[in-house]
Amino acid sequence: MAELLAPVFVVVFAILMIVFVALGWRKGARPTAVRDIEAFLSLPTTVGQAVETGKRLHISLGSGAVGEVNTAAAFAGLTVLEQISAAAAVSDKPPIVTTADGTAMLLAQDTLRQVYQQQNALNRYDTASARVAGLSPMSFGAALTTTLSDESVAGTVLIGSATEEVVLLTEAAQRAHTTTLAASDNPATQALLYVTADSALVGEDLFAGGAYISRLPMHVASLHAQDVMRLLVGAAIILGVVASTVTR
Amino acid sequence: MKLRASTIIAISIGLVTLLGYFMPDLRLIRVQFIAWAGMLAAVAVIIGMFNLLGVHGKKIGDGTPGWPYSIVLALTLLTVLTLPALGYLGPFVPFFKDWGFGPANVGSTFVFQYVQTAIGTSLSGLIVVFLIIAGYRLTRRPMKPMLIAFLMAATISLLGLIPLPAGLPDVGLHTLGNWLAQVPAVAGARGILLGIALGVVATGLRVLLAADRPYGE
Repeated sequence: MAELLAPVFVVVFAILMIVFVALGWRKGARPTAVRDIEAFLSLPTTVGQAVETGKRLHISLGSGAVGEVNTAAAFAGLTVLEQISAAAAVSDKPPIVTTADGTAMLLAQDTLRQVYQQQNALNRYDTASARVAGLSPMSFGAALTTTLSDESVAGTVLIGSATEEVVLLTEAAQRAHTTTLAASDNPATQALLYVTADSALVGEDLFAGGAYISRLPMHVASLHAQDVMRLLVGAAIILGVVASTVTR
Repeated sequence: MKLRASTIIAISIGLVTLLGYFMPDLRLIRVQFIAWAGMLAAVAVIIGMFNLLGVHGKKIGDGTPGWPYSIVLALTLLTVLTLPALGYLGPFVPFFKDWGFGPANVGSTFVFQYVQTAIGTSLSGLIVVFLIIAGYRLTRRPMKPMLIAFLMAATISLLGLIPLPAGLPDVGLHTLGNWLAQVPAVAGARGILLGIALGVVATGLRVLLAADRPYGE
């Protein structure tokens, strides 16, 4: 019975996502409303500032590695990268992407290349735009402190997995008078970001970038599916507590 | 929706790997796929290292601000890469006779123990200072309910950790700090982890349903 729970959970989640996508596509469907997240509301301003001031936008995928437990966080970062680099690519100085993982770097390079290709500006694409800043979390954090000043960065968006090294980045951003929007899948890091970053995403908001920035149908649908599943899991926890208390 | 070969391969491998967790017959295939992914990730680390060298080589070539640091980085990287191989000089150079081989040799251990660990520890110390400054800066932000709650919880938790000077009565800060750390903080962390877990599943399903294609098209 217990071993069946996981596949049932995944299948129900997938069905809910497909149902919500279908509901969004039906004729006369109202645009889906999502609650305001301050950090995502300020994102267009940060991107706009980078373009207007002729500076770069710095997008960081954090120090997590693709292929490990942080893979989903890195993918969330890549989604945001794809959405905002399309707008930032028109700047005189194209955005730079930093990571501490070779695989994430290759995926980021591919994402950037696709964005430039879609804009018929492949000649402006530079493979060095996506780079490994350091191969360990602490060397990654230390390297980012100089990246902001050396690369003339207007704002930083960090979406990915990170630990306490993010404080080095956010403090450097404060000194350089640039804004930082940051999110991590680590609850302890989220607390650090709440204190140090200009805009911090809390909880699963890290994975909501695609729904908020470009209203991608599948991303919006997955947000609704997450809400339903959260209710189901919450109800299951309460029922479990009640059942355990009664049968004790 | 146009599906290309890369998309079909990625979805198929993803599905088989996922099913491998639920179906014992697919376990071996899942383990094999994960092993291949591990090998590819190891190759990606080497590519990442060359990327790091390339970026800093360009910085040195262009003379961009901070280029001397790039020289230090490149030299350090090359030195650390060379250290494990120096044991092979043992038969010819007496100094390297008991040097050892691989990443656990004398040189690598020395660099790890006296350079990397020391620098890492000092950076951690720096983070504590930055956090204190950030905490002070936080009080100058517009006071919102969440911020007030955060500041109160942090202050009570910190005061609860301080040993009371002799003679001062215990007003219950230690108990309150402990309760904050063990009940609301743990409950909140579990709620956040639950949300993150749901986000991870949603992200994985979007990849499996080809809505997200981080592997290119």
